[in-house]
Amino acid sequence: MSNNFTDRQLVNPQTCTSTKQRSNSHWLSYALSSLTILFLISACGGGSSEDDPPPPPPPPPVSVSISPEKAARFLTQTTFGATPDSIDNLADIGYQAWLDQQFAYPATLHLPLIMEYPDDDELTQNHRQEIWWRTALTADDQLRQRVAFALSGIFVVSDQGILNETPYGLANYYDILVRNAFGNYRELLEEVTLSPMMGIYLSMLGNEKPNEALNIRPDENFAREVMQLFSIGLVELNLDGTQQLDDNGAPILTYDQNTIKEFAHIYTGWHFADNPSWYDVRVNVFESMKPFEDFHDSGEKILLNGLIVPAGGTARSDLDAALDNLFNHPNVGPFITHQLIQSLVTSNPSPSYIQRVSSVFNDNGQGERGDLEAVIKAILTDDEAINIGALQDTSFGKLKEPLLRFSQMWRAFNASAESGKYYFNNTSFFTGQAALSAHSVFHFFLPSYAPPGEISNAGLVAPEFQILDENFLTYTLNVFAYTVFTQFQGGEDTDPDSILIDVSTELTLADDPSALVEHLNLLLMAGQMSDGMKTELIASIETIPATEAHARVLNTIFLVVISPQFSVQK
Amino acid sequence: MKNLNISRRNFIRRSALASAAASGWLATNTPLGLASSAKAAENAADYKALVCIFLLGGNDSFNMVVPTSTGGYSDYQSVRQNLAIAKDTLLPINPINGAPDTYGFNPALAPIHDMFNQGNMALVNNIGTLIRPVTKDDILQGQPELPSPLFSHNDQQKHWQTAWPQQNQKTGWAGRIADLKSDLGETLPMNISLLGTNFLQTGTNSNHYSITSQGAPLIAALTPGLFPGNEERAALVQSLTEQSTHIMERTYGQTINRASELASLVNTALVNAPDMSSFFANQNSISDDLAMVAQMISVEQQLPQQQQIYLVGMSGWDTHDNQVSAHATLLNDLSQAMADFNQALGSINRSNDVTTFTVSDFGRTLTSNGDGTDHGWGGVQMVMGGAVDGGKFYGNMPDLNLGSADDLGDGRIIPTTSMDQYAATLAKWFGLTDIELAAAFPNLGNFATGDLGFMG
Repeated sequence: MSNNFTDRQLVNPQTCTSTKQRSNSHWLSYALSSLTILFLISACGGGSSEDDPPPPPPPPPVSVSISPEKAARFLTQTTFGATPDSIDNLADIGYQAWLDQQFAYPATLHLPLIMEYPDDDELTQNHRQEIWWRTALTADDQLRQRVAFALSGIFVVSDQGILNETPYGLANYYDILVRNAFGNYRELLEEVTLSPMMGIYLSMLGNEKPNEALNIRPDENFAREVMQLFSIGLVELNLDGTQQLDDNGAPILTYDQNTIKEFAHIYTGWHFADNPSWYDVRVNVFESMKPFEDFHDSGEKILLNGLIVPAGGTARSDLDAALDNLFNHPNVGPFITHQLIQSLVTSNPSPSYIQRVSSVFNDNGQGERGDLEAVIKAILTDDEAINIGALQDTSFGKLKEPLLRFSQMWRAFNASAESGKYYFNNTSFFTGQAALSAHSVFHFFLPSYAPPGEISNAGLVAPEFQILDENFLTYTLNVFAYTVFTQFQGGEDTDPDSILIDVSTELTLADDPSALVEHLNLLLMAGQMSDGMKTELIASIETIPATEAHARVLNTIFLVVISPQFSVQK
Repeated sequence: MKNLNISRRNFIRRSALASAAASGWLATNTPLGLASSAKAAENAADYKALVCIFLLGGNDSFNMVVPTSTGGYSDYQSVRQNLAIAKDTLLPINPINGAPDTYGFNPALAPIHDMFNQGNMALVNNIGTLIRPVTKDDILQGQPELPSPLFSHNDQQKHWQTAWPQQNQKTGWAGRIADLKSDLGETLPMNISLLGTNFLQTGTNSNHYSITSQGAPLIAALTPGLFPGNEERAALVQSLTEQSTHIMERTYGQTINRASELASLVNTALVNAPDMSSFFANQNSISDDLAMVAQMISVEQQLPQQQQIYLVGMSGWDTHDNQVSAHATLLNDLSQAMADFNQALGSINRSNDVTTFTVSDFGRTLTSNGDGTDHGWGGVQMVMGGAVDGGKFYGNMPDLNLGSADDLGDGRIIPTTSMDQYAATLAKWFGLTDIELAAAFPNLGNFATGDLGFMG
């Protein structure tokens, strides 16, 4: 088997169909029907006879609309950035309708988009990243894409290393996360497990049953990491995410080396879908791996919580038993939902918040375990996430990762490129981060990371700080300077592939510093700007002559996007 | 333990610098000139640097050095099967202090073959994370305190860095060394990382500073003098940091401050540094990183700390798959970079002042999984430098037979030397007293000795 897998010559359009289209119920008809019911209720109060006391006045219709500030804040948690239109829409229809709208949008898949590149292009990971940025900045299914992004930090594969030359395969892998973002965790886990990308990355592909004579035993890589990182974690958890402790007050490990070995025997006998036989390797980076019974260990295995998988199973039946075993472990709810909360809402959720969401993972209300749509809804509509009182808590929220800071700026100012492409080449070199590009299966930052100093001393975590060293921070600030000060519509230093912000609206406010600042306050900071910050920004605008409208606008945008206040989502 | 005393050598350095600036610096016969030369001589004698190379993923180090006697090689081949290095390709090495067998280097280590035989490199064998010494019987019978969880990448990487596995530690041993030995009043810390944020270099009162193989970039829109408006913008960002009420905002803003201040300092120092990249045969990340470290070391007199600890990393060592080819490339890239680094240091007369050493998550299973290995425990590390008592083996070579007293299972070797002993030996050379060593390495007292002897 060769060291490097390349898929540029292997793309078969027939294999690339998108599946699972959601029905496209229009949000407007839903909203109208709700209003109709409300009018009927209010109209029922009239027409009583004189002998009866007048019926109590009907309760005023519950307005679903929310303030623009609340809308902008919610959009920061649920999308790649608020836009003027999206703020108006959400403010108008309210949380539930907006979520329903988002759940209903068809999924924007990355693979069909990358397939649109001409075959003779030297396709690289930069092209895959272009698709990622294009989708993040322009796709309608923002929540789905944002959740897929969060999942990509848990179910990690990466173009760093052996997958460096498989941009198509990685785009297809990303689509597993996109398609299953509102699906069921069990199905997500299975698709990830059988993905040839994951098979290569964590070496389950080509894993063989033991050769006892030569003391060759199955590869344990996937067996370990699927437990440690993708499902149950290292230690037994309570429903609220806190660690269970033994009689000595020590955490309890969920598995030991023996269990890993047993699982490693399960994950044997899988290879590329196109192989005519085990050793006749035909690289297929798209389709799920295929079982070869002669290379599968069909002995008895003992898995978690004493589950015995009897001897004589097939590769598929053993795999199902193993994935069910993982799926049904009580840890999965708290382990996975905690990380989703950290990605979307706050780095330090309360145990009760985790418990409420984990309960929904365990049972979505209709007896289904692992319903990710229900979980996402529970995360976002929980009081701890939505309650604007959280703003008084000076540790609520999270540091925005670099990709989100850029996407928020670009979406706020309707960024686009003349070519229709959204290139941000070598994103991770400049910011420390890029989709499916981590240096190890442990992603760019650990859920438990705490920067030294105040945050660590307070017993809090802030994972995103793990990549905010002086170097990456400087590069990020420099890229912001370049993009804000030179990459705008009408700027001179641009080319057809440049992502350009459109500040035409802001330019009309340049002669009214207070209005400009308020506008940016809503658009970029959900109305959370302090009076002190407003004063400083207004003063800085006034040092620039009113005739220099671009300078006033761009300088202010730059100051906002590099500010500590913008950089923390709360 | 906060170091409150400004050491005499720091005082001389700072006053000499101040005087030199006032006097015009070039005088050689005036008292100021004598003070300057005294500073230079004293500093040159005092300067020390540790350079840690973290092999991320777990190096299959029992394939670095292989027994070559008939019986020894036969045992080796029997356990390693299709991963065994061919006997006739091994490069003979002759440890001066003797060894249980005759040995050869993996041919991929050709760049450091001579260095070992000439005494500038030592091998420290069968090291791993431990809380206290353990035997196989101990483990099988009663769960002694182990640096748990074994075989997990991020946990074992953390234990190598914190040297305190029993605790959910936030500091690492290099950070604790800096707490004890560095000048905490200086903005540039003792610890400099080319691997980003890490536990190793995090102390209670000291932190690390991150640079890259390109040095320390300046913040283009905030550094005074670079662009119009920078001073005003920097002041505004500073003000926003100061008025932050949110804990994360403050930490973010303080990172901007550090980045600004230290980038200026480092760039000023590097401005006339010799180009070290010409010493390096390869242009890969390990070579580029070590070239930058050499450059920083070449200008150390312009940096405020008396001694430094550098961290660089190299990924890709988790060879579950395709080990035969992958590991050969890794070992060759690593050893070439180390040999070139040694040459670069020689060119600035720093060979005796700089000690370079490897660490890794763990060694790997002696047994094969078909085309690679899985996570192990004990492994071999390399130490390089003019001060190293090299050309020798330290520690024990394990029994390579499966099921031996050294084998926890499937060829996962139980370490017989702890990483605490290894790091403490380096720290002692670096200048820590016995009391300071005990503070920096809380578990050190559990082991027979805190000095393995490889630093003479």
